[in-house]
Amino acid sequence: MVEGMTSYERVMAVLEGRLPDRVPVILQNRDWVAKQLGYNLDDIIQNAEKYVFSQYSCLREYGYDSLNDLSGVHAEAEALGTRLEVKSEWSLIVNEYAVKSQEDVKGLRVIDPYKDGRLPMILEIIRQLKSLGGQDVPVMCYVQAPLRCAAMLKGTGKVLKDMLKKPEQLYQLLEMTTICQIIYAESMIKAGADIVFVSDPISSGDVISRGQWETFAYPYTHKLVNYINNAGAKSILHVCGNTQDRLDSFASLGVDALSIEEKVDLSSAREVVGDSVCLMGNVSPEHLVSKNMREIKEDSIKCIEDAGQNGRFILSSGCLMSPDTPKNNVRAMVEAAIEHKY
Amino acid sequence: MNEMDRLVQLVIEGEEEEAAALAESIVPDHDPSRIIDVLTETMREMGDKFEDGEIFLPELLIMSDALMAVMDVVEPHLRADKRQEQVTVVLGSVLGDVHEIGKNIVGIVLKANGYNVIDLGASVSADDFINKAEEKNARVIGMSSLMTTTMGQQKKVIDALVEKKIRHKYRVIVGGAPISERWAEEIGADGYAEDAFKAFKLVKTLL
Repeated sequence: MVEGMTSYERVMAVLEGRLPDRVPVILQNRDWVAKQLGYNLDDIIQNAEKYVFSQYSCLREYGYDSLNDLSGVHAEAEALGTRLEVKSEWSLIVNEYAVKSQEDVKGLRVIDPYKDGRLPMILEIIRQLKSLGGQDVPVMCYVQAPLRCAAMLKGTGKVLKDMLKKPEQLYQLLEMTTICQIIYAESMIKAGADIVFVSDPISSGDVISRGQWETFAYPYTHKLVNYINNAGAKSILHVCGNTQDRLDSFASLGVDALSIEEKVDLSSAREVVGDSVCLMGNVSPEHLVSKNMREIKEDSIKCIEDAGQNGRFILSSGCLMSPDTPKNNVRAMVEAAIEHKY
Repeated sequence: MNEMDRLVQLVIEGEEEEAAALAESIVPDHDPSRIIDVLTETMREMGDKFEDGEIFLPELLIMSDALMAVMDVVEPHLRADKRQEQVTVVLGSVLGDVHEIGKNIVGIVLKANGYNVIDLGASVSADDFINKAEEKNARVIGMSSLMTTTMGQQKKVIDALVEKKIRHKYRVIVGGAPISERWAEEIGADGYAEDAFKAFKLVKTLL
């Protein structure tokens, strides 16, 4: 057994295919940590210090393994002109899409992460998290996959219909969002992000076919992932829902880890991807709210047994954690990770 | 291919304008409720294909658009008594949630099956759900939530119904990616459905 790794060493070990001292835990937490400190969504997306403080103090209290900059909800689309509105305590919604016609696509300008929208604040958050985490804790940042970003610029329904009715128009938009996401990812890596979490809820098997994934998502996400890898950062792809039929294709992107939701069974995911890629998941966010500590610990142990027998596994929730998750259920996940022996 | 088959074909291909135009031209010579029955059957078949993973949301969306265009043409020709029998369903995505695709398809499937659907759109507050349901004498309230951060709103609506002592007047159904049977039970909803076609079956069983 490997003794006493730092969180950084532990996470890097599983991403690089080495055995860690114990199972690392990365929580997909933004709202939950804010709520622990008495903040709401509005506080943390407008105030870098509050965001950073919520991340850091919960990390110290609960002992999981990463500081996350997940503050950039739709920030890329916002920087490109989509207008957002905070609606209810934990929800930021689109008020007006930037792209209403194909003319608007031609009018889009490549984003400048140092100037546009909330992006400079997001970079500032990464710098602060990195200085707090230092050598010991990895900083994970968040970027939308090009297809997801296109949906946030034009509306998901329209983008899905374009796949069948106006693919040429969609390709043009995707070329643009790919460039923007590469530039944005680069700025976050320069600011200190160790891991880039690439999120794409649209590429789920609950939404599009494998063929549509291969046509409208794969080539663009592949460019982004290549870029992240070449820049020396780690990449994690997160796709929501049932993705069983395309996990092999996800793995062939060259990402360091696949974050999967509870709709996919981790042991069958492991069967598909073998030991070629780290898996991350997949305690249900709904169970995290409604089940008790003992049940969550059992769920966590099952995840580890299904996918983490030989390392290459990060214990996490299947998707973003609800702010209503009880504290003890977070403790249960960390306990399960600590108690599992390699 | 006869005109009905052609109409079905156009709906499946999502040829919205052509389908509406054809419906316009055939509606004087056909029983309008028969046209709706045929298209409902088509949607049911497409629902099966969706469940089996043969078609996906993009296909379902273009079909739904075409179906709605045809319904807009055909509905005014339905006999008035047929329309009055309709059960009213109030639908919406909960406060803070703008995901509407799944909820819209639920609405279309219910409409195609003769329900009077009042779609309140996205980010609907508890008050709006309840006021509209009361105003329109609805029997079913359907709430969609696609995010773990908004699913709690479903409970707020049910709690408000209980507080107003009108919970018994409604069948409350919930859906959305993070939602489960277990969650529905926990918040006191009458049922959960995984997709639009199951939602329709659920509404039928509940009434």
